[in-house]
Amino acid sequence: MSKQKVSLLSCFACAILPSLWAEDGTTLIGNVGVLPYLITQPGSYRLSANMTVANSTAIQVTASNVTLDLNGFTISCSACSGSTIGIVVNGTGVTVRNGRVTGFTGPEGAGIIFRGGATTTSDIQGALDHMIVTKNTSGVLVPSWSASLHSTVEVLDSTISDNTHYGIVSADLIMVMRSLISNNRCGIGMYAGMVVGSIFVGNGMQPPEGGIYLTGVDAYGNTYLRDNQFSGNATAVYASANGLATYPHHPMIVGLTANTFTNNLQDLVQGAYPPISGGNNVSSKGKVF
Amino acid sequence: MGFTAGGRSRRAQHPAPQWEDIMSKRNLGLIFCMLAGAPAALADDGTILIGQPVQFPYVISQPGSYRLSSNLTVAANAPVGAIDIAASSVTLDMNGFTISCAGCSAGAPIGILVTGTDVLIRNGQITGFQGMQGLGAGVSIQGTNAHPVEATMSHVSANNNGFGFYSTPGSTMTVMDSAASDDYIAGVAAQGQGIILRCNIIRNVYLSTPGAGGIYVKDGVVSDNLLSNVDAGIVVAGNARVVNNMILGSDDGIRNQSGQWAYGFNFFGAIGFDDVTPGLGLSLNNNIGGTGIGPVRVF
Repeated sequence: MSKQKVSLLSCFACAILPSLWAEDGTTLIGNVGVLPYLITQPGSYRLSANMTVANSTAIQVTASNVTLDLNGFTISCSACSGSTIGIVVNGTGVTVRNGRVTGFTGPEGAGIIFRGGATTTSDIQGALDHMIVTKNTSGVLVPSWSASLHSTVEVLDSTISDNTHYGIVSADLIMVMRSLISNNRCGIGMYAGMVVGSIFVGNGMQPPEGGIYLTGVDAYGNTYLRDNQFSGNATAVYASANGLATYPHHPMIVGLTANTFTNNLQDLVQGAYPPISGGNNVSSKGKVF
Repeated sequence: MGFTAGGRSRRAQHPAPQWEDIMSKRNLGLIFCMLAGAPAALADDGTILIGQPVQFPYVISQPGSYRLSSNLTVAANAPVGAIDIAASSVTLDMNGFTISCAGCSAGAPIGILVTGTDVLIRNGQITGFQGMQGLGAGVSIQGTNAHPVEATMSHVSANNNGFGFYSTPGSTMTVMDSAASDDYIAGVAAQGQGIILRCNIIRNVYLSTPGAGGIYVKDGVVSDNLLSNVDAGIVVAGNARVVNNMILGSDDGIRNQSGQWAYGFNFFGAIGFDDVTPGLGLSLNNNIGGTGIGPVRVF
């Protein structure tokens, strides 16, 4: 068979099957016609091109046990308004990795949201890994979506930057490790969880905006902040809640251990509650606490 | 009898294929199979691709690099696991796919059984391997003292199994950057050496069964994990260093069974009874707790 015939065969094949599967069985997501692109089956999905949407949600994952590899590409929105979101996750066991989400700047827009769907009957667990979520209204949202079901989301090795409201806001349990949280109006607003080994730079325009804003008020609203660097934020950590009055035996507490604070307008804002415990924190204001 | 994958890359034997080779009848068949969406045997990079086999378990009997090319679904109550890694020096990339059991309820089903050593499993989900009385495991590392096995799981999520990750005495199991949730007995249970790092271990139910808890470890290191479990967050049965973990909402934070321990920089929140149960040989440093009835303390 001549090379010309091989090329002809290849072109014919490409024409009838436009990038449905990668060689390794992963479903490729290329030029998407109807938005949002719906993922309704478990499996492995990979972008094969940048995806730019015009004022629309880009991808919605309704299935559980899905890995969405952005493959280094970018999901972006042009002329976004309203509540358009880059990636909506409704299932559990969903990992989004290796790419960027940017430009979802509607008043209620966000880069990525983890929220159980109408048919979700279990708690959801999800992960972001090696992601850049930047220049959206909010970067990552984990809202409270059920009175009895909960969300736990991990953010690992990622950059959450330049979002005009929150970088990350979680009403449930969250785990942030080895990430850069920079230049958001508020870096992380969180109810409970742990933030470890991360860097917070330039968050907040004026106090109490800043690096981390703690919102938990009950027994499970506990937060452990360890080995982080806070630099140039308005308020590095804001922890003030009226927890004790409502939950006298199980108020939230904040663990603050081995963090470094440099050049923030305020390192720590602490009200009567929650109690803050820990040690080995160092501040450029000359304190060790 | 299961299927055996032991082939080496033919590409290595023929580094410069000619057009005649590419367009052979065999490869034309492979091309058409790929066009039809059927799993191919080899990736371009020489990795061996694993699609849904006709019969389980899919046995890996040769060293090499393997990658899933689809979800694998085991029928209910299959007597054996989905993948059996019998060879040593194997990397299994799950490629974002899921290995699941549809309706397992009998016996002790296993998603991935490892009896070879120096094995790496990465990047996927394992769910549904829960049999009679909650037995079963997403991943089971089965070394012995006479035949020690070392295996590492990275970026693997094990949900709704009997154990998420399980290893026998004689095994060294490393679980890192992974998750285990809603497993019936324990998220991670290392009966031998266990190294559990940066994992999210939640809602695993502890049934007062030996080898249970959010994390159960005989000897080893447990560090930088987030745990929220029903009964015990971490159970330590030997000599272990448990540091930098956050443990929430459990009856006991760390439960000691025997051995020598060092616990430091752990955070205990909303613990029902003891942050750390009393024991001998205990070394504590800079832990934060006391959200049960009592003041917040550093100990």
